[in-house]
Amino acid sequence: MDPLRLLPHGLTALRLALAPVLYLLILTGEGDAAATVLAIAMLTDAIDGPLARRFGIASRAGAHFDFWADFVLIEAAFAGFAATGTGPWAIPVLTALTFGLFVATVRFTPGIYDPVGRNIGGILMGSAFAVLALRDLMVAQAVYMVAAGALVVTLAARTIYVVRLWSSGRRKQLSS
Amino acid sequence: MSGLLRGFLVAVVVLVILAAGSLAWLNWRVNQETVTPLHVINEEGTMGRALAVLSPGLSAFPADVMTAFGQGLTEKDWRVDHTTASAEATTGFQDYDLVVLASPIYGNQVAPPLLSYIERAGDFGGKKVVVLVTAGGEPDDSIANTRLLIREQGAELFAIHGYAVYQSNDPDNNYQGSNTERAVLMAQDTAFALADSLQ
Repeated sequence: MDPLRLLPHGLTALRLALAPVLYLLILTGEGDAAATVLAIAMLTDAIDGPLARRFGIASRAGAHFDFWADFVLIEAAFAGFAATGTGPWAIPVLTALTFGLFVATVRFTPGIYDPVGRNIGGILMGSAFAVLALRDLMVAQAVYMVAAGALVVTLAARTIYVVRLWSSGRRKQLSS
Repeated sequence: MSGLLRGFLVAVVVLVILAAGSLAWLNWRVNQETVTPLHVINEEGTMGRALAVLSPGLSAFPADVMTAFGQGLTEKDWRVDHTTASAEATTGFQDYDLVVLASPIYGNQVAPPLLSYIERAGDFGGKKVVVLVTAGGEPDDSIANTRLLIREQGAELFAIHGYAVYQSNDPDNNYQGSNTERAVLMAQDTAFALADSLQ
């Protein structure tokens, strides 16, 4: 197998490996290094999927690997902000709930109209990058509120969809 | 319009609404004064008496720094009277040896409640003033702006210290813990050393 074809998975693995580094850099106040690491991780997120499709190795397993790498990276960033005492723990908690619900409902995904949820990984990574790049305490609080709002919107959209699906399934069951 | 593009636009609109709402609320919030009664620590302190005026801001960091600074003074047997910056905070400084001000920095300036308090306090009755500021990044510009502000009032600025969240406070690695935990320990040690120099 051409080693170049492993590049997309390698990039995803790199993103996963950068997550603990990012957490430590945020916690120790190394803002420049943290912003750089996050930018590299975001770049890997932007190119690993298109590269996998180009090399014809796109798979469900690869998509799951990509999803989990995004989740760990986002959790690392926002847990780092919370651990400094300036960010809310609500965001890592909401992120875990949202990704958990996504995993639980992934087989129904095509039926869900959720434009915020579709872009939630990018929104959260962009939010974390804005905090590190702009370094203004008020902007950071606004970014946390936007991130929390986006998570609540997508969590609500998925919950409503699942409840509707469940109740329509029960109606069908009762009528038959 | 393709479904993908429409979805993206909906996401952008939702985010813009969230961002505008958040900024409007935060702008209102940082302008609000927090009124708290005077809270006295080490009432029997004999070495000196400090008035500590805090503008709490949006996170616990400025309050943590101020509390640690107060602890540093009380360890040297000072009495510390804590309050928050508001129209009801005292401007009678005759009983104090030192005035300590603490605030987060928003847009290179101390928070509006502390700004109003400084303007109201004038020269702080000629008492020595120490300022503690907390910033997201490099606090040097904010320190320069705050120094100018205090001097414009004719007050005696004894010391000013800045602590950052996303910039290392302890590049020489003298302390343990996260960057903000180190800032808190540094504030405590600063007060401890300062109490000696004031005697």
